[in-house]
Amino acid sequence: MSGARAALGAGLAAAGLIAAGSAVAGLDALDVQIGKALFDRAWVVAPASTKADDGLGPLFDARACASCHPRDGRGSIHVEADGTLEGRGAVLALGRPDGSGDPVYGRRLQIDAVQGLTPEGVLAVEERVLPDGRKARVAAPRHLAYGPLDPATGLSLRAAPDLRGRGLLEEVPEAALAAIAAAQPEAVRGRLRHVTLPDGTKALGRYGWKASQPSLEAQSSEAFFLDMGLSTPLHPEPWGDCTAAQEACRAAPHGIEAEGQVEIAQSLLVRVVAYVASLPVPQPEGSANRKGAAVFAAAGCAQCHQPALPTASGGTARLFTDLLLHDLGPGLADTLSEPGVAAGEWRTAPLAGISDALKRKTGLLHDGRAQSVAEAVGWHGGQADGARRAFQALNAADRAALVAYVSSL
Amino acid sequence: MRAPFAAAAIAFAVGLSGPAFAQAPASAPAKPAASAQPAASAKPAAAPKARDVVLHYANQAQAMYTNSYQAAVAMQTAINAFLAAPSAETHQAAKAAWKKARDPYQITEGFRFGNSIVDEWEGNVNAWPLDEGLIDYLDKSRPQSSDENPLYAANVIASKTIRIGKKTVDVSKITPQLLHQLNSAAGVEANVASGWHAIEFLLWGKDLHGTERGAGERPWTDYDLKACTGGNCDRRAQYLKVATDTLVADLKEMADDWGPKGSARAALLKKKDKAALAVIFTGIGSLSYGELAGERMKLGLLLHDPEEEQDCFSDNTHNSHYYDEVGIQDIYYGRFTKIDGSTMSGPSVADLVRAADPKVADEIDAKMAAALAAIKVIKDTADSGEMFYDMMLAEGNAKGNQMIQNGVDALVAQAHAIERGVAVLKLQIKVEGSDSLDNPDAAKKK
Repeated sequence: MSGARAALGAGLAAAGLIAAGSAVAGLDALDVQIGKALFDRAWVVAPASTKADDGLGPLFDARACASCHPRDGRGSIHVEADGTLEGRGAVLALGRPDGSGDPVYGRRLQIDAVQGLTPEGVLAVEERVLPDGRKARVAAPRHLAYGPLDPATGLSLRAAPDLRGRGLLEEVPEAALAAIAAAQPEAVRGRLRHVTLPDGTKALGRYGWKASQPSLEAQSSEAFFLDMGLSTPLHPEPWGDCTAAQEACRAAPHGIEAEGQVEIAQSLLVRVVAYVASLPVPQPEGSANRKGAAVFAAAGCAQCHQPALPTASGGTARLFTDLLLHDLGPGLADTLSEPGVAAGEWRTAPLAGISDALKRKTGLLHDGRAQSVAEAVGWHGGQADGARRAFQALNAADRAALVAYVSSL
Repeated sequence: MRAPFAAAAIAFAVGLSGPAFAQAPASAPAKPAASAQPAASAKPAAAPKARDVVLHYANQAQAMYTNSYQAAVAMQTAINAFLAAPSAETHQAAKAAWKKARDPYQITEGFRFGNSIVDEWEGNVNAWPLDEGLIDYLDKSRPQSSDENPLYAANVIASKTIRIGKKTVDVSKITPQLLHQLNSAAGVEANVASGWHAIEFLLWGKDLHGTERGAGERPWTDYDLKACTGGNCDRRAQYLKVATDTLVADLKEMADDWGPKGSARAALLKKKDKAALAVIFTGIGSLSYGELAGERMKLGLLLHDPEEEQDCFSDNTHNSHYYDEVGIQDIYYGRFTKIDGSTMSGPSVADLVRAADPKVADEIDAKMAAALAAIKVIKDTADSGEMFYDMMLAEGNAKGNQMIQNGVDALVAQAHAIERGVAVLKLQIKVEGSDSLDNPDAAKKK
């Protein structure tokens, strides 16, 4: 090894180690590795001997983070011939226009339960044929075990997103996002979503299909709570998403042995968050596709799927989003609305990692209905209608270049 | 901002290379073979051929899994004897046989990471944490009868069917296929129903002592068909028998996978020399760092969870950690001692490192000796009866906490030394799950 190489190495290592410790509040590389183990860990039902690992459920969608985010990537939505979903690539979110969950089923339709308790139902979809002949995907859960859903309850099937590089979304200054919104032509202008935190203060929503969570920590807490039934400091109720109407569920054994405890202690949560934050942004595959990038911009895609956002530390987040809510029209709207966000409004989905999703055939868009980039673009309406029409008007060569570019991300 | 992966990996290794240690302390470990312990030498030795090192590693894997299989057969004999004539004595003999069979398995854990065939298989054999409530009752002081709370009694031993997601699984017949189905049919979605810890739980029961002295205290009468305690003794006996037979068969399968026509051997030998050597380092580095130092030791210390340990029902964790480390060294030095006392040894990655850079080889020797010594303190303290691993973890137990922290620190230092060996041989490895160890840039936010 040359002296120059060694010196460079020493510098990199020092910078890397120091940053690794400081960036995640005193946690070092071994803590990140523990976070990885916790991310992969299959949590168990209480009361197990491993007290720190129990408390799963009573209702849950998955036992492990890695169930729905395989190798930190996007969950795969596979529809069987009979319309039921196989695997754990998506959850079914439930909500009423006033922001509350279903009075019986809560905010998720959980597909699994601890032994002795009945899961809430089986996830399935139906096709809704639109006037133009396209088939929209509609959530149609089956075998509802606790009676019918409330008539006011809306449904939204939501894929588990790719997590790689997403820690950077927290680092983008709000002012930069506001500036992007201001610069967008009025017809496509998105808006920042501010959400109310448990303490009553407001924060910018950055995570989730609807930008409903301000931070990785909040997003991870909600996933632990709603999807695995594990309480965290932000969601301390040990019964997870069991409602008061689900008495047996509320009475089921849980992983808390003393007042004030939670099933996922803060020390565990911060390590999982540190692990997710440590995941690097997926790198585009193959050589640079300048033509594709140019067509992507010219067609208007890059207005919202911003190739790079600035971070507070002076870096860039190459994730292809603007973190703004946009109206994408009735074709993508489902039946779930919540206060301040219409059913047809979506946070611009980051495109980084889409090459992996295409390779694994996970399906694209929030409910996995699109199987190709062109198909996904075709579903863009509302504020994205102009970009969609521009895409569909491209000549074959330009169109191929754009698809190749997006498919490489 | 981001250095290419390989460059960062090498840079990390080089950047951390401190002054080499002059001499390895080389305190001979108590049980593992010392026969092949390389003499610390400043002179470069003749390097074996890389292919010969890889071949010996495959041979050693076959021998170590065969050894583990044979030890498990002895355990199976003792468990069968217990089930044929349950008594306090046969129960005790079965528990002793489990502990005796456990060490030869632990020394194979360094093969797991890097060899995907082993890693995929491992879930059936050694998965942790165990979903013990799925298998059997947990605590008789908790409500058991179904009219009090049906959820405490919903387990395979007491049930005819259980439901996983949209599937209802018939558990009326306990078979090896059923246990594998419960484990891994649906990957990480599934429960853990077989393997070492399932058998351990069925023999010892839940440890209700917290961080106080004591292991699980399952009575032998849980298997007494004439005066059954705990209910469903016939089903419990059947479960124990099937879980034991399944483990024995799984170990045999892995020994065969490393045999002349085995898939694990073929997958390794198919690789080019450097990639195959990288597998060896990936295995021992990952076990040392993320798995043992991180998940199995530091996490428990962080939580002070009395049972955040590996062999929690039997209070055998001090041995399982110790023999993990013995196995790391056995693989690095290309040697090991079989249960019959005979030894095998051959060309090793240690020989390659020594030929390439004696100073780095000395440093690895020193860090390995230090890691073994640190864990031996834990083992000796538990063996003496002074304090078991679950007691060491307890909040406020400064002495016990420090012993574990020393083990963590020594294992991390060992992992970094192993990475220097990797750099010396100009290999690229990916330590399991940890972009941050070999790619420090990945651990910081961009």
